[in-house]
Amino acid sequence: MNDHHPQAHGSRLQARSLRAGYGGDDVLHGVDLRVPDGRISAIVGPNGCGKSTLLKTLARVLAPTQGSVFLDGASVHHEPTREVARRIGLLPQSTVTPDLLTVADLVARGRFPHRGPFARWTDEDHAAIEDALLVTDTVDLRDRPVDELSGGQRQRVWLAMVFAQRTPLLLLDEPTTYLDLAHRLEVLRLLRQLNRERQVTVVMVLHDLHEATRHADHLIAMSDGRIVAEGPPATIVTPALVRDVFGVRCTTIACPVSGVPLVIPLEDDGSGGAEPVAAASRALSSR
Amino acid sequence: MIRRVGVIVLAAVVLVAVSAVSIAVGSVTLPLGEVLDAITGARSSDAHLIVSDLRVPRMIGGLVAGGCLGVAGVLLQGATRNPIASPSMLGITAGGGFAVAMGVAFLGLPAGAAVWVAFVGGAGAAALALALASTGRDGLSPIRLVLSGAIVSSLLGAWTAGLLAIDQRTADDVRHWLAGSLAGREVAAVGPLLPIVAVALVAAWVLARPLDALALGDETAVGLGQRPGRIRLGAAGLAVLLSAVAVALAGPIAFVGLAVPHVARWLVGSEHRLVLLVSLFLGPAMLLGADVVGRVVARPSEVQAGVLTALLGAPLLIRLAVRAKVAS
Amino acid sequence: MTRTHGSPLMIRTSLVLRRRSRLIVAALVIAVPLVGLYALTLGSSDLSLGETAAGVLGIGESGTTFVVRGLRLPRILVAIAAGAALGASGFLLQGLLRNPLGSPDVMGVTAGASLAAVLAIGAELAPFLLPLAAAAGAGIATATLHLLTTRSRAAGARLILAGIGIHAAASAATVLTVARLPFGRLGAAEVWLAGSLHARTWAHVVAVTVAVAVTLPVAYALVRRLGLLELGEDVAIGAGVPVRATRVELLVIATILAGAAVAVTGPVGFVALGAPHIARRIVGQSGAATLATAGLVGAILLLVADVIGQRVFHPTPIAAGVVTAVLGAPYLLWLLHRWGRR
Repeated sequence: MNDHHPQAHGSRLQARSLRAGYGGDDVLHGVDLRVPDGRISAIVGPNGCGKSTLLKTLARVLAPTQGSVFLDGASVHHEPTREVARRIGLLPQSTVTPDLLTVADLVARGRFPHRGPFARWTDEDHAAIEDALLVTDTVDLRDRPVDELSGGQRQRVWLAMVFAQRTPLLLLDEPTTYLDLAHRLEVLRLLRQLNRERQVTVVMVLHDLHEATRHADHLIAMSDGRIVAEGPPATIVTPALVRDVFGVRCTTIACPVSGVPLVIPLEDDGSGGAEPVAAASRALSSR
Repeated sequence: MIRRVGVIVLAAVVLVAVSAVSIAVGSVTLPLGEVLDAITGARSSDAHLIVSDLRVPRMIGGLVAGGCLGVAGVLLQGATRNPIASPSMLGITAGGGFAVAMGVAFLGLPAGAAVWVAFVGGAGAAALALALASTGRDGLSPIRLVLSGAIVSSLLGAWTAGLLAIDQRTADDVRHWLAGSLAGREVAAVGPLLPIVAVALVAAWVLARPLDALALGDETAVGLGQRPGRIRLGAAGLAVLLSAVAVALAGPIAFVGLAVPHVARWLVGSEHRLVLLVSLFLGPAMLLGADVVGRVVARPSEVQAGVLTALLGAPLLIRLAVRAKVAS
Repeated sequence: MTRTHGSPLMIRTSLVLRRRSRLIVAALVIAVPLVGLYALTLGSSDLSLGETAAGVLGIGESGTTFVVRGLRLPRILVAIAAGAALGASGFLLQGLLRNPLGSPDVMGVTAGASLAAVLAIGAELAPFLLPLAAAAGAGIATATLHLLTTRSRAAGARLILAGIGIHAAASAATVLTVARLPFGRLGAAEVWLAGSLHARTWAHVVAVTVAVAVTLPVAYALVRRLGLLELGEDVAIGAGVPVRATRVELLVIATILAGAAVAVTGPVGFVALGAPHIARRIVGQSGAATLATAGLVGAILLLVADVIGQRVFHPTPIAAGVVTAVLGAPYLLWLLHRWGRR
C-alpha cells in the first residue's frame, strides 16, 4: 500500500555526522541520513529526541555545530538561501499570522524565491498560486483574512503557501498536531497526493506513531539525538523498537485496514490495563 | 530558612546604614558632631538646620517613596507574571508628571506640594494602561502590557512637553520636579499619606500567598482555591496606589520598582512574603543610595535621584530583555 | 481534481491591487498637494488662494512671494516629506517587530535624537548643526539597539523590550540635561522637544527630501522580504529570505527615515504609529502598496496637524507635535482597544 512508487534510489538531501542544538547544548549527537527521493519519510520519536531539531537543520534554519547537510551535493548552509528555497519548502511549527492578511496574499508570498525584488507577477507565479489553492481546496477562501479561518482551514492555507513554492522537496514540522481527526487525514492525504502525482519528496515530523506507520514509506525513529532505526514501517516497527525508542512495552498486530503494524501499549504487568479496573468495580458491587 | 531571615535582617541593616549616610552626607559637607547634635534636637546653627529641615525630611521622603516603589514593583510583577512590569513602565510616573504640570499651570500649585494631583494623575494613567492591555482575546499579555504602558507614558510625556513649551512659567516650576528628586519635599506632605501607605502595605502582605498561587498559572490558581481576576485587580490596584504616593512624594522615579524585586528574588527566592519584605527595605536603600550619590557626585549642586536610577536601571531592563524568557 | 472553482483570471485580480484601493491611493496622491495648498494660505496673516498660488509661482507681489516661498512653502514641504518618512518608518518597523504597536517613538530612535539635540543645545552648537546632531542621536540609539540584540535570537518581543529600555534611558538623560541647562538655553530646548514645523528653511526641506528619496527605493525593494519576515522567522528562512541581513537593513532604513524626520521637526509623535494602521485599513496588508499608502497618510496627517495648529488659536500657531500628541492620543487609545478586541 505504501509502495506504489517506481524505484527511487537517489537521495538529494543528506545529513552526515550531524550535530546541532540550541545555545551550546547539542540535541543531535551525530546523525547520518539519506532522505529517499520521491518517498514520504516520517521522523518519529519521544519528546526531546531531536526530531524538530533534525528537520530544522536539514532545512538550514539551524546551523549545525558539526557535520553537514548536503543538497544535490552542496552544503545547504553555504548555498545562497534563495537557491535552497527553490528546492526545499519548509512548513515550520511556528508561524505568525498578521492581521488583515488574505489567503491569496499569503499563498502568493510563497513565490518569493522565484521572484526578484522588482519583478512583476509572471504567468508561472499565477499558475503556481492557483494550483496551490486548488490542490488544498482553498480557492473559495482566497479573499478571506487568514486569522478568521478555523484551525483546519488555516493549516490548509499554510500548506498552500508552501506548495506555491513548487519545490521538489517538502519538509513539514508536525503538520497534523493540533488538528482534529478529519483534518489530520486530509493533510496526510494531500501530502500523499503530492508525492504520488508529482514525485515530491516529503519529510515530516509526526507525533503520532500510528499515523507515521500508516502514511509513510520510510520511517525514521529517533531517540536521544540519534537515529535508532529507519526503513519501511512494516519492517521496522516492532515491540523491540518501541521499547528502545519510547520506553513503552507493547504488542503489535497487523492493522486490519492497511496491514501495517498497529502498536498496542501494555501496562507494566503485561496486561492491557483495563482488567484491574474491571476487577475493582466488581469487588465494589459485590459488597 | 535561617539564611533567608539573615538576608532580611541584612537588608534592614543596610537600609539603616544608608539612611544614616543620607543624613550625614550631602552637597554641603558637615562635621559629624553637628549632625549628631541636630538629630538629638539642637537647632541653633545653620548646620543643624540643614540636617533637621532638609536632610531628615528628605530621608523620610526617600524611605516612604522607596518602600512604596519596591512593594509596588513586586505586586505588579506578580499580578502580571511579567518580570518587566514596573510603575514607570505602566505610565504611572508619566501620568503623575503630567498631572503636576497641569496642576501648576492651571491651579497654580507649587510643584513640591502637588501631592494629590500627582496621585490622581498617576493612578489614572496606570488604570488606562492596564485597562487597554486587558482588552481582547489574549488578555493581559506581557508584551501588550509593556507596549501600552510605554505608549501611555509617551503620550503623556508628549502632552507634558507640549504644555511646558507653551507655558514658560509652569516650565520653570515643574522642570526640576520632573527629573525626580527628593529635594524640596515638604514633610507635611508625607503625613496624610502615611496611613494610606500603612494600610496598603498590610493589604499587600495579605495578598502575598495568593500571588504565590497566581504565579503558577491562572488555572492552577483556581485549582488551589484562588480567584485570579480578583488577585490581579487587588494587586494592581494596590500597586497603583503605592506608586502614585511615591510619585507624589518624589516625582517620577524610574526603575526602582523594576530592579528591586529582581534583586530581592535573587536573594531570597520567589516566595512573595519574603520578597515583599526584602523589597520594602531594598527600595528605600536604592533610592536613598541614588540620592546620596547624586548629592556627592556633583558638589555643590546635585544630580537628581530619579536620573541616576534611570541611568542605572535602563541597562538592567535591556539585559533582562535580551536574556530573560519573556513570553510574547 | 476537477477545476470547478477559480480561474487564472480570478486569482490574478485578487493579487493586483483591488480597484477600490487604487482609487483611494489616487485620491490620496491628489489630496496631498490640495491640503498643502490650503495650508499654504494659513499663517500669521491669511492669504487668499489666488495670492498663494501667485506667490508659489513667483508672479504677483514680492512681499507675498517672499512669505509664501521663503517661509511657508518650506514648512509645508517639510510637513509632507517628514510625514511620509514617519509613515514609512512606522510601517517598516511594525513589520520588523511583528507588532502593530511598534514605532520609532517607542523604540528609542526619537528619544536618542532628542537627547542628542538637547545636548547640542546645551553645548551651544550652531543652530544649523542641530538636525545633524539629532540624526546622529537617532543613529546611535539604533546602533545600540542592534548591538544589544544581535546575538540573541531576537524575536520581535526582545527587540521591543530592548528598544523600550533605550527609550527610557535616553529620555531620562534628556530630562537630566534639560534640568541642568543654563537658563538662556532652556527655551530653545523645550521648543525643540515639542516638535514643530515653525521656521523651517529650505535647507530642512532638502535634507529630509534627500533622505526620503534615497531610502524609499531601498525600502520598496525590502518590502517583499518584510512580507515574509512577518510570517515568522522560520517561515522566512524556509522561503529563502536572508533573515539576519534583512533585519539589519530594515532597522537601518527605518532609522534613517525616522531620524531624518525628527532631525528637521523635532519629536512629533503618533504619526509613525498611526499612519501604517490607517494604510492597512485602506489597502490591506499588501506590501509595496501599503508602504506607499503609509507614506501618503503620514504626509497628510502632518499637514493636517499643521493646519489645525495654525487655525485653533489663530493667530498664535501651536506646534505640530503638540497637535499630534493631543489628537493622536484618543486615536491611539481607540486603536489599542480595537486591536485588543480582535
